[in-house]
Amino acid sequence: MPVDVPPAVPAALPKGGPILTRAECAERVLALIAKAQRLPLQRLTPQTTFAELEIGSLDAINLVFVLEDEFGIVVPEHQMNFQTVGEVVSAMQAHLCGPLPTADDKPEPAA
Amino acid sequence: MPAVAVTGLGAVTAFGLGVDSLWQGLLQGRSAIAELQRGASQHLRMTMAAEVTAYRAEDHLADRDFNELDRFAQLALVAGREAWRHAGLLQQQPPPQAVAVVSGSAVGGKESEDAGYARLYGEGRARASPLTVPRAMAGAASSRLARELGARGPCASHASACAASSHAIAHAALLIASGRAEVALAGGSEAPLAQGHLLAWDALRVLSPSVARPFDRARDGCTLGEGAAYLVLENANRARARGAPVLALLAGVGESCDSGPLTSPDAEGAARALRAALADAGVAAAAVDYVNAHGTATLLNDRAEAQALRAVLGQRVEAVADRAEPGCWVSSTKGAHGHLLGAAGALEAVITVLALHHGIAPPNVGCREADPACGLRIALQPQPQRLQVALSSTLAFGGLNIALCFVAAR
Repeated sequence: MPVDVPPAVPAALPKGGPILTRAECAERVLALIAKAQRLPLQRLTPQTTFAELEIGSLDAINLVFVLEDEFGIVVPEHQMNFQTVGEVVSAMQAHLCGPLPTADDKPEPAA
Repeated sequence: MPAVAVTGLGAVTAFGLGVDSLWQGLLQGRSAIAELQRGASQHLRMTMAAEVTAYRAEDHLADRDFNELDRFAQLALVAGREAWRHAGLLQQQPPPQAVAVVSGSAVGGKESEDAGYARLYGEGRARASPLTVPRAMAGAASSRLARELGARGPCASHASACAASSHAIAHAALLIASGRAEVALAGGSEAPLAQGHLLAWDALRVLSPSVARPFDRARDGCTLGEGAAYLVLENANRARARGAPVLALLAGVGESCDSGPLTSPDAEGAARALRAALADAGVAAAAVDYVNAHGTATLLNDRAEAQALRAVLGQRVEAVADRAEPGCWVSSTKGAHGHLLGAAGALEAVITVLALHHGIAPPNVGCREADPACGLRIALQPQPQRLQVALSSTLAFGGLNIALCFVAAR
């Protein structure tokens, strides 16, 4: 039975422009990682590696699953090899906020 | 078979977490069957089930268990821990290589599978969750339990339908009797209340539209339940040497196959398993004091099982007025805790050990008027009596029959 594959276009990105600022996106991604892996938010910095967090390969793919569900997007297979928290955040920002910061974007808070 | 000591018990049932809630519920003659919540759907004809409502995952799981374990393996973890603690083995850790874990589940991680299929076929998603396989695999419970105990000896899982955990107990007993392991955690778990799976059971037309009433004249089918039950089996000399309280001895195992149709019971096959268990234990039929019957409350099962019990145990097990000698009580406890499918045999083995240990035959909850066509001496009330020998009988789809013969440790 053929299964309709949704196009690799971020559903959350409306025609008029991104609905999430980069900071909002980062905040939501970190919260989702913390919840999915039952980790305290404070442990998550852009540099934190999955190895440090003991996130195994299946858990990492599962994380992509969780993010896809949350944002209504499809992450292509070749983009799934995340090693750090920062890589996940950047990838989600690319999907949801467009490739570059927009003029409307607030500056990211200094972590 | 050289007798194997039972030194610990654990159970998670619709009565609650722990063996105590189960035994108290049984002695009160209560049923834990209630209106179905998990997996309920408007398309189901069944409306009742024995659900484990007392379980809260947050109280029992390590962080990574939340992603990795289906409900059936989670319930196994809780019941297995209880049995291990009960046996005093947290304080007296056996050598890791001497510990076996053998578990049974007929259907495995059905809730995880069901959720995965709902995404794929219902929502039209393209990808399945990468955690579906570890969650759904029927061997997850025994492997997670082995990790919990630090067990490095034999670790195996049985999936032989409703006989799965009886086969697991038999396997573990034989490992100990043959010297391949010194201690074993043996039992089973099941969490079958997933919508798609329940619809499949509904289609079989063996489920009661109300509640299971085993051996009752007006019985109309079985009621599904979820839960887990484990026994710690131990080399009897080892158990005595470490001063462990021995709850009962598993003295004999009898197995047979009908070699016939997959879904209809055969009294002759059931009788062969019962006789084999008695022969293995070196116990005469006239010595049996209590039988925990499979008693699913379907018309066919209970009739065939009764025929087998009468054939093997004779007058002792028959409903006779004005009996001279004490005789043998029979009860199916499925009207109380539901039919746990692959975990049924282990749960009923736990109950059989409790019966011997406390000297009380538990009641056949749900039976109001014993079916004269079955003609069994059904314990309608708890029956306090000195119990020396008890059988736990399990009959399963696939024409599988298995009986475990326990004797009191006194």
